[in-house]
Amino acid sequence: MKKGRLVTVLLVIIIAASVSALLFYRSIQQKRDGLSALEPSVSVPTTEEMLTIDLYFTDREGSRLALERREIPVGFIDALVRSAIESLLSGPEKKHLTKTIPEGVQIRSMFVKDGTAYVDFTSSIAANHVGGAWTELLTIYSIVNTLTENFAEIGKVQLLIDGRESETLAGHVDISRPLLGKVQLLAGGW
Amino acid sequence: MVLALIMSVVFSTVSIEADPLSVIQSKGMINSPFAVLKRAGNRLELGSIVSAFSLKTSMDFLGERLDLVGEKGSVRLMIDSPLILSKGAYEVLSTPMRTEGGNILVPTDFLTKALPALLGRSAAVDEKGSTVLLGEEGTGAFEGVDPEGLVRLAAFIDRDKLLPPEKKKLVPRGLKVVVIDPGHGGRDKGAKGGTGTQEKDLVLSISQKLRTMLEEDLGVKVVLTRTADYFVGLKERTAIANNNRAELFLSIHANAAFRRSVRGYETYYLSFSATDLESSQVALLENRSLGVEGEQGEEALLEAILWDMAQLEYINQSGELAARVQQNLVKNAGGRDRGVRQAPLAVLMGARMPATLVEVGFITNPEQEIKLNRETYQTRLARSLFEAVSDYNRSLIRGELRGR
Repeated sequence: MKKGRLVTVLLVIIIAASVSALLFYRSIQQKRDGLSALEPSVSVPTTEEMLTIDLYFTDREGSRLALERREIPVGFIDALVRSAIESLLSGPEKKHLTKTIPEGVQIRSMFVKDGTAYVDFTSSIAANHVGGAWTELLTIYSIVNTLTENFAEIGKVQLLIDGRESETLAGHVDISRPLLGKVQLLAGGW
Repeated sequence: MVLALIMSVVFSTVSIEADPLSVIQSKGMINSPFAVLKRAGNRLELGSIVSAFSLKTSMDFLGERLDLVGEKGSVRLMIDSPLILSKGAYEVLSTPMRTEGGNILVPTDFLTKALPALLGRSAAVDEKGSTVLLGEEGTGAFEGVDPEGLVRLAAFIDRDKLLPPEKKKLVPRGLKVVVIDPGHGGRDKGAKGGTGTQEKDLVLSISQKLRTMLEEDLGVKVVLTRTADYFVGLKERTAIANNNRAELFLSIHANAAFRRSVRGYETYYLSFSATDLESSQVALLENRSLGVEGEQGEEALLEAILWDMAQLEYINQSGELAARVQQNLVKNAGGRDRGVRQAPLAVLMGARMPATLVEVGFITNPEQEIKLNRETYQTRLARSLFEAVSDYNRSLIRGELRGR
């Protein structure tokens, strides 16, 4: 009798897990289809499921943000965000674009909660930042835009440095609060 | 016509609808056709004020901003904000304007703070808050009498009480106090050049040169936010300018870019997009829900919103100043014009005066770094900034610079 109940419970758990995995997979699939519909007939030579995202880097003159399209492996939102930021950290593939985050910066931790992505960087993001008011804006919004514009789950981004809220990154722009995306920076204006 | 000749009008603000009020003034007694202002709790219904003084109103399509137009001027109000903006000056109400049951409610001090701008006449409210007296500046004493109790409610207001409340008005006159803000300092080193030039040292040197020029050639008082290499917080810098009652705030920075090839000048003033304001105020409201509650929380929230909005009323002048700074640098010091830009820069946020931030060149560009280190080039930059300030000062004296 006891044994039978245990088996039933186990069965229910297994069925629930498979159904939710299937549902999750389908939602990702839909999202992916929606995004890649923008750029038709890109065939990726891999068996892994991929998601198309637009990374925000800057132009050569440091006047505006500029896009580079990438494919990243499908996964949970936290993994997608991490993957997107890792791509920002490693820099653009296009030669005429420029990386916005200093060398040697790492993600300490990150999570998404109630529509806000919290991303915690090592202190070198501030200490090694080149400086300049506009350049600081470009760094901040390359991260913020990459997250808010690619993931419907994210409305705002709270940047953290070494585990803490910080007044600024390079001494000009307030980053103590969660920030909204600013796509106008693609046109070089605020 | 008869109304236009009336020097003073008294009316009651008790909640009952009453007959037209009698007004006693030096020439005798007259009847005033003014409506009674309606109370809702300790606030007044704006609608009754609008009809009492025949004001015109217009609201923006989002229903957030309300413009009132009277005989002598207009004011702008914002829902949930305590600010009244008018002609380059502002007043702060004791509590924010609110909507309740389809009515817009304002605190009683709306009368003393907004009516002068709308009607060109001073206003006073008696101690009980039940009688409002309007008069032209310096018309002297008169009595107001409530029809229901001629003697009992007689109010005597003397000349001093009728003088309009002190306003922070931008009277066209020359600059007296200028605050120069050398960027960064101390542990905040700012940008660094390839051969080790530090922004914080460079901008201090240029600021000191500019200070001498402004003091000697323009005769203004100059205050520096730092006079050596030490750390000063961003809010502290603006506070120094506010507390010195400066009429101009100029933050001097040196620029940096990801690529060494980038060069030129940039000048900034604060951006004030609706989303910027919205996001900051929403953030403040959210913070409040986590933090201090009650009256103290309200106060802190109000303080923070006022800080965020301080620069708003000077935004046009800030733009004019930024344009002059950029023009003079390109013309006198020579170099690439990367334009005047608006951005959400924290150091300009709380400034209660025209404010701008200038990036005098890229120390990440090897050629510019060498130039920026030269004493003669620093003097040329300081001279260009001096020309920009004197140019601005001339426009100010001629009355060419208007509020928002």
